[in-house]
Amino acid sequence: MAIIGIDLGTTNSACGVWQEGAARLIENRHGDLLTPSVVGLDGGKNIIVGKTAKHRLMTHPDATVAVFKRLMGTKHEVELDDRRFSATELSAFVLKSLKEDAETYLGETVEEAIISVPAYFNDNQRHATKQAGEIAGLKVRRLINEPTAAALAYGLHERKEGIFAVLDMGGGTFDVSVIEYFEGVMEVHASAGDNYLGGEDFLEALVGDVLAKNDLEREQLTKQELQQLFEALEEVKCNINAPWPKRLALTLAGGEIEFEASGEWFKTCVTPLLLRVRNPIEQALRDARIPLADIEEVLLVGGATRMAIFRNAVGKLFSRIPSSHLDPDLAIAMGATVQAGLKAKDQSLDDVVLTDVCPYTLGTEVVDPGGSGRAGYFLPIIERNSVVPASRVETLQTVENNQKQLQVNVYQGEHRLVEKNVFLGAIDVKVPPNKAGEETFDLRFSYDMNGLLEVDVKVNSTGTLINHVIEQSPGTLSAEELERSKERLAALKFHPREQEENRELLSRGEHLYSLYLGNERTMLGELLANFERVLDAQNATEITKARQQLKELLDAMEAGPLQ
Amino acid sequence: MTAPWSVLEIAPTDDKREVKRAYARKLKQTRPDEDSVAFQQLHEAYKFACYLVENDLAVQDDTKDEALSSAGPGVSEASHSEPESGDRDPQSESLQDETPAESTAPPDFQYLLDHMDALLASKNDHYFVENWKAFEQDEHLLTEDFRTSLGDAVFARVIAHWKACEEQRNEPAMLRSAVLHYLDSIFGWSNRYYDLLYGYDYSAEDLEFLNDLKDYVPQQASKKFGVKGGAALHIEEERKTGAALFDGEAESLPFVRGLAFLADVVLLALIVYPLDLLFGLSAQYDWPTVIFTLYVVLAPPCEASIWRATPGKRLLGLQALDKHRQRLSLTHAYLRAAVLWAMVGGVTYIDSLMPIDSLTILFAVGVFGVYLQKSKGRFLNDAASFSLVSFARKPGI
Repeated sequence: MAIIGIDLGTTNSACGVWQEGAARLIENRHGDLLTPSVVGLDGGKNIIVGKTAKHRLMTHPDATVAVFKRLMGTKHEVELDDRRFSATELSAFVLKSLKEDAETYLGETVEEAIISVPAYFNDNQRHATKQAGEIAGLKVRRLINEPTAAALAYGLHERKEGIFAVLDMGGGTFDVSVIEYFEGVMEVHASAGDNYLGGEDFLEALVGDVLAKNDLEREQLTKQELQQLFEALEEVKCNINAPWPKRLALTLAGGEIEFEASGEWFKTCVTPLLLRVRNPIEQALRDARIPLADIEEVLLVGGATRMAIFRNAVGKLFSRIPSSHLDPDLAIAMGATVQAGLKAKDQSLDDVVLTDVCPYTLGTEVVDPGGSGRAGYFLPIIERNSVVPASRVETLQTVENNQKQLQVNVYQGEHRLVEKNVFLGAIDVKVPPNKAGEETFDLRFSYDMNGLLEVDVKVNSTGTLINHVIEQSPGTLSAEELERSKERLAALKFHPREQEENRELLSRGEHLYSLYLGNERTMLGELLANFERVLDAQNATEITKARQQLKELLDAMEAGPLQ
Repeated sequence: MTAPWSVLEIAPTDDKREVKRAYARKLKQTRPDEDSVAFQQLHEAYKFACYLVENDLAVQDDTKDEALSSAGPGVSEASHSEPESGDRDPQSESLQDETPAESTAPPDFQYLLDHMDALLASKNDHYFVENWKAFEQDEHLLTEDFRTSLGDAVFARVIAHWKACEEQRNEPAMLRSAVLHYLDSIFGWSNRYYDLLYGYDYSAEDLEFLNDLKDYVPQQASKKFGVKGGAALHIEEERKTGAALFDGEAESLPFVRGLAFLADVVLLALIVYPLDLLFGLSAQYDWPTVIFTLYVVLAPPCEASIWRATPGKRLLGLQALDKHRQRLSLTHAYLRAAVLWAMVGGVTYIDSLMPIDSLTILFAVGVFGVYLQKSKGRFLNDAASFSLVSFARKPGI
């Protein structure tokens, strides 16, 4: 059975399979390699994923959601109509849609997958991703870090030895990895990142600036208007490399807004964000103990790295021109697919080994080593950028006479005080009463290839061993919750694949309807109503004919204003 | 050939390229997702080799090593050639180790190992550092080769013993840190950490105690990190800073204590009432005196019990504890009661001398209130008897 590789992105997702010694990306039901990570509800029963849902973002803002990867690993729930979904569940929908596409392509059921996650995703977020896979009916064989995946795709593509830096700026996250490729070994030296820096933040900056310049508050706008603004600026952002300037005219909160999106304006808006790019790069190089001069190539992946302004900034930082031989949108999915091939022990990948690192420090809470007796200090056990799988042990002791219990708190982060770090879980351990410091116990942290942490506590005097996989952290689900979630979502149906095209056409039409005015709008309304009637009649030949007509018209209308 | 070269299976080299090639070759046999322990060892060896190469220590280190072993009387030869076939367990290795040693080394070598075996087999003798001093009395220890090979043989035995004890859960038989520290000071194991790790197929876990030995200070508490747990977590701070003895519930505490006392009084009254009917106690004593006396006599046993509370306190979830938040001893509980008795007695005595008017009572209540605020709910009699009453903590918090 095939293992598929999935890039579950903030804005777009993609999947592929390792076939005949090469990574092959799979087209979705619309014939695209990229499936937008957008989920919508239709009539409260049907789930819509991908392009169709993306069109509905403006027409049905209350029943459609995007950019939910940002919420992974949090308790936050998204409301669609009157139903509530966690980010994990929404991601599961996207995964399920990708899984179906892969099944159609391969002609067999797919049950195993490799999913990519931002290198800087923490333990909670990784667990949430893994659970999303489980809800979608996929056994997640490995979570692979996105820059590592990109490097894997690149390294195998070019077969060029040396040290390179991978900068991955996707929709929502920015990751940096320093990677060395030699003799078939892909060794990650260090990873660093910013979980809240991506293409969507650039867009936010533009929207914020436009609103501020026109004395508008976000709350004043209807969801439709806001979406319209977002789409217009999204277009500006995507076409940023085109000749300037571009004029924009929008109707917002009853007022007409007109402005010129110039290069200068764009630059001032995003400069604060570009400055943040520097920190993770510096940290990764410092942790890898590799001087800047040793970096042979800078590799860009992720859609946001297409921006010329980003390329310039990176070029200045590394004093060399960054390269992107692979499609920045697809490199990660290709890498995940390579990893799938590795996992399946494909013959053609026999001579390739990948070693990765743990991008953040893991440790426990201890009493002040200085002797004040205060708790709340962080004791690192696995240092960041240690090679994984890593297993480290630290011997700790009681601090109270007759202390009967130990509370082992597990944290992730870099601060010396635990309150500034991310809490991952706690283990309660009984110890026999004894004088303070007489009872010792061994605390072992094992961090596996997937980036998931296991904690063992061994009380030395009694030999009691407690094993604990950190899974009950905020934002992830317990086994029961997972089951409940699966049942709940089983009630929701995807549209049958054959109807998908019609659905997509309708939502595209509705989207255009909201853009046009006057005669065109009336005509479009009639056409759509007519198409719906034909669909209801369920006459296959009629439907094909009407679909063809509508499609031609929509293509023509869509092409018009964009020229 | 020693660490880390034996793990990488190459001769010591100062060519980084070669180290990388060797690592890549070995890595394809030891994939990280298949054998994580072996991978970690390999990766550590790789990093160490890179470190040696980068600092020009690799080859130089080795020639020194070889010079030493060729100069020595065969003993060190044995200890250095053995480790290459590194997958035997330490026990058999120690046997292998000493065979060539017996032939060439002075007879003391075997004598010392026998002495060690005797110590390890004994019940208590191994506990005292004194008994191990036979090692340092041997003049051969001054020769480096003898010391190294003996150290390796002893080390193998220590590990074997350690593992055996662990398997049998026989903690008392384990070697004390003081003994280990002494042996380490003679043989310098902790300085040869990497040699031991890679040369002898010990896992990092076997060698863990070496790291501990480095900062071991004899006769002193080790400076390890401590982890607090459960209720004990907060006391240390409170005792140190003299801060609040109670949590945020301090405001309701005096009130709840009053209720608890009332409940106890009612309970005692229920006991005393039938006695009164039978024996007519109230004819001789007034009710409050009888009940208060009974309270003072009966409360301590209750507070020293596992309830840590009188029935009334128990009912309202209170506990009487000593200042370390441990259960009161019976004597301590009676001290508590005696202090209470003395205080109430004192007030009654003053009252009998000069009747206390309502204004004074009001004033006293005010003072008491302010005092409670200051002491965060700790009554005067608690403070005077080094005890406290607080809400019982749920276990595990």
